[in-house]
Amino acid sequence: MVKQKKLVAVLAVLFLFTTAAHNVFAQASVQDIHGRYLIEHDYRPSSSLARTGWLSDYYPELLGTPGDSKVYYFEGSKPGGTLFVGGGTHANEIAGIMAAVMMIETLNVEAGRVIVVPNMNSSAIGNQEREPELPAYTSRGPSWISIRTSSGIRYFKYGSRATNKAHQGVADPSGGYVHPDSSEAPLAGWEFRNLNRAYPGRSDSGLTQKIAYAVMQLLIKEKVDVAFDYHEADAGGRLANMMVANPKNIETAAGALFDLELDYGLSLKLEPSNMEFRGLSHREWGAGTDAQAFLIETPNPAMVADAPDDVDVVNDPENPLGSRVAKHLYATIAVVRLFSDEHPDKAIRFSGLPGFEDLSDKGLGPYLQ
Amino acid sequence: MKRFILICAFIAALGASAFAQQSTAFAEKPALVTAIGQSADFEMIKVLLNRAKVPYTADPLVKAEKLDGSAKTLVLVVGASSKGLGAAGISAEAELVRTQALLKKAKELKLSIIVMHVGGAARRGAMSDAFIKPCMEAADFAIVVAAGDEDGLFTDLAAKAKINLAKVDRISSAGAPLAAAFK
Ligand SMILES: [Zn+2]
Repeated sequence: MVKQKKLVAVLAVLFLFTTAAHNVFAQASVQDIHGRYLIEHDYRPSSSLARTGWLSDYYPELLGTPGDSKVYYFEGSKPGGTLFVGGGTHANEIAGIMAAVMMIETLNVEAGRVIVVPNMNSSAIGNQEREPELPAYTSRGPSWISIRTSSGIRYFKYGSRATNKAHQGVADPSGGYVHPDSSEAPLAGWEFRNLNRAYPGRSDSGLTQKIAYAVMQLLIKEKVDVAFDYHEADAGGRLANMMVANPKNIETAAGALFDLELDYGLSLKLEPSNMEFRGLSHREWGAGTDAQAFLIETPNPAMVADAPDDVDVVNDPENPLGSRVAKHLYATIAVVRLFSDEHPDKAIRFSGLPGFEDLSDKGLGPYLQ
Repeated sequence: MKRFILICAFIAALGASAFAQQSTAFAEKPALVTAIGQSADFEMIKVLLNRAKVPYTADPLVKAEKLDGSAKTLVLVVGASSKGLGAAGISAEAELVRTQALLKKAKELKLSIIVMHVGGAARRGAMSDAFIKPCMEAADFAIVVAAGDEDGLFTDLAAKAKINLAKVDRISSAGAPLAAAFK
């Protein structure tokens, strides 16, 4: 009798499993062509989400490729300017992704629009293979991070710096990568698959260049006024805790950094884009679109050159994920506030994000959906 | 004896606070602000001057010939950035030559000179220090974020030059002593 019960239970589990698998398969087979090769990320938008779209809406050749990515649009009831936020340009820079996700899950836009792309390089987030020619930091980290929230433990994908070689479509240049508009010395060949060396992108090159091209089209078509690219860097290195700004908007950046110190005791370094060094977001977005362009670098313990492979990227004692996400979000808030003061007709106003200290101290868990 | 020590300590403290605080405003407006070493700290100091409502013109690469006496105070934002020098197309040696000529002309015109070093440890090192020394020798007042003076370089140079040094813990705290320096 007991044996029979066990058998029934096993059969029931098997039945449930096969139905579930079948459902997943059925969903996948009818799934929108947009998501054909993509991870279905567990991001749970706030109720003020207006709609979602795709990068391929701006460049149809990305449709159905591993380079397409979901775009989240938030709209205020009052007119105003447009803020763009990109995370995951380098998919191992998890605080950038999670800052974008925090926006998606908590944002309440009152005036203007906010457009968020949490995974700028979808190919890189699905690829964590360690390639011998790439430095270890470019793919070091867990495959997924877990965060305990009020709705249970949630999982978020961690990726690598470069586009998957198998997705790029064009081999890495053997003589090294030179941006088509650059007169500088060649970079390593794999930098051809670095999204932040590819702007303004090309429609006749590799997948990375096509993603960059689509992002530029988005910024132009959506008339983005303020654009942020969220990154992380070697926790002890020169870049960590820095705001990089296009020279045309460096005064806004400097003012915002002052406010960050005064309001939150947060000190970030400031650097202008090097206009000779081509392909970087802050340089090319600022030059090729009307947007004021900014990039934030927070300290990621996994990007320290000799960090152990099992490094904890969430609960690092010195730079916990919450504090890194808070830096991204509050640097953005400070810039947007100054921009809105200077351009009242293009004001961008939003609320809903967790407080700077709360997020830094308690981490992301209490604030995610 | 105890009483004597206490009084001495009190007098010392009094002296220290008077030294730490630029007691009398000495600098005349308007100011001319330039970047010695071409770091982006220059942008931060512009914000500081804006917010302190000090009228100024800003020219990161201003040359001695351009000093005509219309600006009464020279604000030097000191700290080397190899990126910044590269972007400006100027070598560290040429920057030092520009700096020395600028300081000489400023002295001739009897301008007040305020040195600002706000980039902390990142704006120290051989290249930065080469700019810091001549600027401090010529300065009337210096404001330094403490992280840039951990080895006491600014403290020593200020003592040698017999000038007041305001040490602050962060850039945003540099606004008060800077504003107070202007008449
Ligand atoms: Zn990055």
